[in-house]
Amino acid sequence: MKILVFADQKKGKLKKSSFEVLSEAVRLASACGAEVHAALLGSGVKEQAGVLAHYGAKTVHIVDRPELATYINTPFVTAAAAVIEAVKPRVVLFPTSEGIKDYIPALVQKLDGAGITDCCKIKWTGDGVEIERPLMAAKARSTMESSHSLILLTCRAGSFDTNEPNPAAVAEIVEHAATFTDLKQIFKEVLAANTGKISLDEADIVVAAGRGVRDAEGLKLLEELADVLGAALGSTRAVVESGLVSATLQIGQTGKVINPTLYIGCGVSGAVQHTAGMGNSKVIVAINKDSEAPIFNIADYGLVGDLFKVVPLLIEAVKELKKNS
Amino acid sequence: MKIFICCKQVPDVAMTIQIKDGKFISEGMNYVLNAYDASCVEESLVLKEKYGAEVTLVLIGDEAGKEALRKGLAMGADNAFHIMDPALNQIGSQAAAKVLQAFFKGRDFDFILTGKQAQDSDMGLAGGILSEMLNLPYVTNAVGLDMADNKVVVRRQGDEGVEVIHMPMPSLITCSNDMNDPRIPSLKGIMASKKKPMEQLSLADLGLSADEVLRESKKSSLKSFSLPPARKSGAKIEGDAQTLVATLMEKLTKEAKVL
Amino acid sequence: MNVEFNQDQKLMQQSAREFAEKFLKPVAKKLDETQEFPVELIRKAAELGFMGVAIPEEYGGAGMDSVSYTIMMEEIARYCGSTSVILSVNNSLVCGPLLKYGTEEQKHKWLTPLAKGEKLGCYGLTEPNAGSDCAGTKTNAVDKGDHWLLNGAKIFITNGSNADTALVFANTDPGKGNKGISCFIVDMKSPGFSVKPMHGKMGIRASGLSELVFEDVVVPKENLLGELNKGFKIAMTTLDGGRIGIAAQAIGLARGAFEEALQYSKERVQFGQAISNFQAIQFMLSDMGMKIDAARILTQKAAWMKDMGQNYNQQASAAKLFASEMATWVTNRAIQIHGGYGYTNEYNVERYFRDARVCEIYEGTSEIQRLVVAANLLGR
Repeated sequence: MKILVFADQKKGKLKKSSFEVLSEAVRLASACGAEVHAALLGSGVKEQAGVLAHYGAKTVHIVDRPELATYINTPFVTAAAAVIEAVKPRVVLFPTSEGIKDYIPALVQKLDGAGITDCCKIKWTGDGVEIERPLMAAKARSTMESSHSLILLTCRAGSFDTNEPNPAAVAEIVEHAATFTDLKQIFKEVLAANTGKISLDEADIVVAAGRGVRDAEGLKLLEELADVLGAALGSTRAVVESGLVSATLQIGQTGKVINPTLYIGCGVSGAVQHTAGMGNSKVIVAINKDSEAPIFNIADYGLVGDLFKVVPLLIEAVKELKKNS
Repeated sequence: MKIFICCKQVPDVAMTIQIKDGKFISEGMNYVLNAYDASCVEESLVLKEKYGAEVTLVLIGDEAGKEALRKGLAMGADNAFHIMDPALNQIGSQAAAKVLQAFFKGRDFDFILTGKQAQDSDMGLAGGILSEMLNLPYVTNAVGLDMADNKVVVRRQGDEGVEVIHMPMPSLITCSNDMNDPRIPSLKGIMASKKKPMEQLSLADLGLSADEVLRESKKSSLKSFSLPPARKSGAKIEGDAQTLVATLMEKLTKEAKVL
Repeated sequence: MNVEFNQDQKLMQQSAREFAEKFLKPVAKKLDETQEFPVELIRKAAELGFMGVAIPEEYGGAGMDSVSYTIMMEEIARYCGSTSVILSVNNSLVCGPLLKYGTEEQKHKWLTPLAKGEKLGCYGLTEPNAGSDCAGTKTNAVDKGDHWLLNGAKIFITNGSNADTALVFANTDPGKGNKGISCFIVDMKSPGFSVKPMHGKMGIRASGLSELVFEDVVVPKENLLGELNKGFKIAMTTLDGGRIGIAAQAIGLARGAFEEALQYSKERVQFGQAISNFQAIQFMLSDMGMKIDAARILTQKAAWMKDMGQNYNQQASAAKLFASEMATWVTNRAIQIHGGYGYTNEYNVERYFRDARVCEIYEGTSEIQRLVVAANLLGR
């Protein structure tokens, strides 16, 4: 039996979500005596294959083609299907990204598989898997089962611990051909979004702006904090709606699900629409002058205070810390 | 132009969710048109006002589901199909797509819209699966739609930013609620929606057997519900700004060790 | 009577709720502070058909029933008392009597634009010396052959600052008391008609409270509503309908405060736990929820009787009486649950309390309602 993990990468760098999912695949494989394979789709991605071995992949399958340089779903469905048909795994695991969310439905159908998205727990039952996943805006969880012959699961970011890599491990690398015909959609362009320097779903530290930042000046303060921390900037929906930041920075139910080591919410009240996207953060810091804000119910460290007074001092303190280390 | 919108009625997830003995308690919940589907209705009404279109709703659901259809009609959709069959209770994404495939067989349309996911399951599969079944191109998570040169110009929220994708017709597009702000049905619209055509269809009407649906349903099954583990709140730190920052830095470096 | 809403009513509830959550919730606090009449919000409410809910479509209304009207009032008042009273006056106190007593011509000319919300109405009954006691009405209309000449003043008139059309009760046969009162439809642009804003209100502060002053206002003969000297009956039956709306308003305000108190009790921590864990708080919450439910059923029954064409005078008064006293009690408890914070304007509960308090006063005080109920019980 084989478990296949599709790794995700961005501009030639594997995303940390790939390692989470690969680590989980290794645990699952030891429970059911399976062999772990990884797959990587893209253009110019071959060099990264070795890293996947460090996290437990015995074989790495590559489709490296210029058609996969920019994302549209048709070629990715074709490439992924080609790998799965060749490897014949029982379970296929994917990290979550807007691209994967986009192409997985067609892939499930094309291969007549069983598809379940956003899994946060995976267990081998003996003849299939049992999974848990959040639903209803993460206010509830469901337990699902599948014993289908081909099971495709996407994994929720931050749900699985990453194993220590073994830099000595090597994998067999197999390149697959795929025929790309009939591109049904035509990709035109990516409209520039004022994305931060560090991508939100990859960041170890996230500084999130809530309604309390009020205006561009408040936002600038948080950008500065993010800069000194080497953090990514995110926001609540209210801040996106006010036009202060682009929708790519939105964290939450309709935005990105993030799982940083440290989340610092500034002027964030903690509405469930937002917490649905950041509740997996390892350490949550909240800065809010309203001592009754619901975010304090989930914050590890809740600072009751005015962000306009606290953040400038915090910036100085972080600068001081970086200078001394 | 003919636009079909596949919709679903869902519990209002803004309300308190109650789970007892692994079951979702539906008593006392309000049921509403899936918010992402409402965005589809809004977007197609805007296209209709701009270019002219017939907007048709399709919903799989029990008797109560008529209310969700009526909401869409009250917003301004033209007509509706209600697929209702005892064999279709609590079906998942893959079975729903199978039913919709049968519905669309032999029907003429320019494109199909559906919410990027249903607010109750948050699964996000049905639209794309349906496209593949119908052999249509599709795009998910659309945040903007327009027409140009007989193509649908879709703006999609992707990983790197907003992607612009040109789709031929017919095709399928799943919509985000970031696309628009759906209009609130006026009372006049609500009363008028009673007079709009709504056709009820059973599985037999679609030429589909319960077994064919079951085959899809069996691929995965929903066992139980639970409440997510609560995250414990930690310490609230109060005092002047200096104290707050000093305490936080101490905690982050010594206790949590994340800095 | 079915305790479950029908589809029209459920959809109406969703629309009213969406409107209230989207447009009222964010501004209700500010409206209370600035006391500015929410012109733009009322225009939006009009677009949705909220200005003439139970008025037939042929007269520009939504053609829904009175139960739907109570549903809308509750959803609006849940977030904003001021907006709810503005709608209440236009719907039940102005459109209501125009529909019931107006001639076909009057309905087309006056009712249609009011029910569509193109125009706004106000109701001129109360005077410095005439409130519940109509017989004390000093405003008078004198028959000048081809027109009426109106003189006098009205106070505490909701919508007065922004209305286009007023229903004015005036003495047309001095000395006859209630039997000498008539009702007139008055165009507020008429020469001699002036409006003075009134300030200093405790609650529902953005409802355009005004004094109306008439100095030789010429009112065309055809603007007499109903029969001459039968105005008292119009005033009383109008208030019956109005009371259902006020009852629903009280329920909405109570519910708004209750929901905030419930949420707060789960979040507020004292003695190391959420205060909702304490029985003292639980008892308050259960009584609050129960009373809101009871008031709602009473109110919907009165509305249902109205829809069925039954005499609902007693039920309307009972509903208004019970709901308004309930709302004062519930909003007061909501402050208690909030503790010291509840007494500040940082939280909404003190506003709900101030807004709710008037429900025991306008459109007939609690004491008047008790008299109405008693008169029915005793068959007088």
